[in-house]
Amino acid sequence: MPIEIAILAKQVPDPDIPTSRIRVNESGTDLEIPEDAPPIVNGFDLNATEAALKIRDDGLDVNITVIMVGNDFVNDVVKKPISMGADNLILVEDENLTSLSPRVTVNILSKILTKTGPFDLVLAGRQASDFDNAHVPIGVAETMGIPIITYARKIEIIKEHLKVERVTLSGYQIIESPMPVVVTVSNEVGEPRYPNLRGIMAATKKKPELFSLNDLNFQDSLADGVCLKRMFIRENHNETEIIKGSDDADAGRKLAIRLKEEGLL
Amino acid sequence: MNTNVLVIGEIYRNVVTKSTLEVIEIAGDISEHVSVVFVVSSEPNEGFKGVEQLPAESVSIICSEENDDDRGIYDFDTEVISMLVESKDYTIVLLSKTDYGSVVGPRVAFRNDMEYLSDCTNISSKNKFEVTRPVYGGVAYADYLVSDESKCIISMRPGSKLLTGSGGEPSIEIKKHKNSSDLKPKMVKEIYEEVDGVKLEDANVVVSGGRGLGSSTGFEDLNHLANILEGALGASRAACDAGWIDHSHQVGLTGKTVNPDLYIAVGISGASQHMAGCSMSRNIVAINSDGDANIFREARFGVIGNWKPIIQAFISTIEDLNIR
Repeated sequence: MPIEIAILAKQVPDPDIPTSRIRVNESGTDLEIPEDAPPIVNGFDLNATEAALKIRDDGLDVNITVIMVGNDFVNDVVKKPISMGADNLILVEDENLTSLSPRVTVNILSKILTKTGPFDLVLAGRQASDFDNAHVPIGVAETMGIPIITYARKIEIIKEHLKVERVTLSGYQIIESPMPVVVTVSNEVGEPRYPNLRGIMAATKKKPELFSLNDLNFQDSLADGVCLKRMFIRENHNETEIIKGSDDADAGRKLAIRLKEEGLL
Repeated sequence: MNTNVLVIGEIYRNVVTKSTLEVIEIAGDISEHVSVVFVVSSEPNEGFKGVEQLPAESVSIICSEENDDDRGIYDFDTEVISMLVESKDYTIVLLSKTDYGSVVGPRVAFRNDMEYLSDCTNISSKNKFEVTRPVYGGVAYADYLVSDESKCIISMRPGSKLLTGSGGEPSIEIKKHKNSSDLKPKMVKEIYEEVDGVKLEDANVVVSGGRGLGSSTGFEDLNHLANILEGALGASRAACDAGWIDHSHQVGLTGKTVNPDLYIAVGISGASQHMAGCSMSRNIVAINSDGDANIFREARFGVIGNWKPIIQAFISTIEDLNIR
């Protein structure tokens, strides 16, 4: 029996779009992303995929299922984890899911995990680069009543037990846990691998398994106790004083003198 | 407002942390009824420094009667705080977006059917609670309204409030509680990679390096400068991911949040994810060869050029002038 690994992933706008090209949309509650900038799979979710593939590299028999919830999925984009080596793709797509609150996302993910599971290990990126909430995987763990370990930089499975190196602000912890467990993965796990030709072929052939909210018998309210009222781009009124010199070294000297004048040194 | 507000606090080495003090003052700005809870492994004989003077009505200290390792990744804390939240009528629960707060906040929220807003920079309470938080890596901000019927846990970004140093005379209650569950993740070892010296989060001066340094050796120059200025060494995520410096130096959205008087950014482009960790600095100095780099829009002072001769001359001038 393979170890069943689920990866919770999200399609997000490319965070590398220059700030100057981003505006708030007409409704005032989301950003307008330029049409020529395709979305991506959230970077940390690809780190999570990499962590799952490293468990396979360790010689274990794993079956990796990527699960995404949202609307307007772009076929080539959502198949990226498959091209890296993941086995299955489940999409919960519904036009009512254009803007998703973390609470609703948690409820839908918990339902789809129950319906398509059981999973031994649920991995997710530490946060999504759009709303940076970082609490959906924690909510899934609490809702399903299983443990949560955040910010993993290394994950090993040793005799059906999990050993995780967990990044902290001052170093790291070694955590051991029974399974099932939810683990969020940080960028320290390593760069997501490049797809090889076999992976790209597999992704081309792969048909995602599709679910709607109806299929999940999802009847919870999509409204939330907190509502996003407005979004705004931060204005920067900062006047930068550029220190110039006859050459770089001279500019460095003048910078020291200027900062001293300002009482900053 | 007359709302009951609970602050989930943190104590480090027997002292109430600075980010906890910030959150308690934020709670005081939105309500007259502030309670604070600390979950600790055991109470030291000499007590905790600063607890008696906190600006709050009441302080509860809950001891686990076990060592810290068995508290694992905050299972016990989640359990006892959930009991507290359930037993009293707290409309708003506040904590700091630290490692602890980022785990305990959402766990308690989802366990008790409360709303959760993470990494917020402002709360106002005119008629309803309105909360501001950065989104899209700090490119934009979003305002959220908390509905009257909701109970909400809010984590505050460290440094989002300048401490006024206000004090109070809270009632203090110390309780012991047994850790009941055993089938859960356990922390078997903790490794500290931080170097000795000034902590990044507490430093008055931070010297940070990015991809523009070109290699790990550049950090030796920056470390030298940080030492002269009695500051701490920071780095961008790009420099950490390149393996040039340890991740414990990372400043940014997924690293540390710093708020020094002087932040010197060397070879850092100033992507919003990095600025999320340093934009609270009082004075940012940017040194970068690319005059169009975003960091120059954020900085008070800038030098455009090759970082190495600039920093070397900067260091020798400080030494010559005997500034330090």
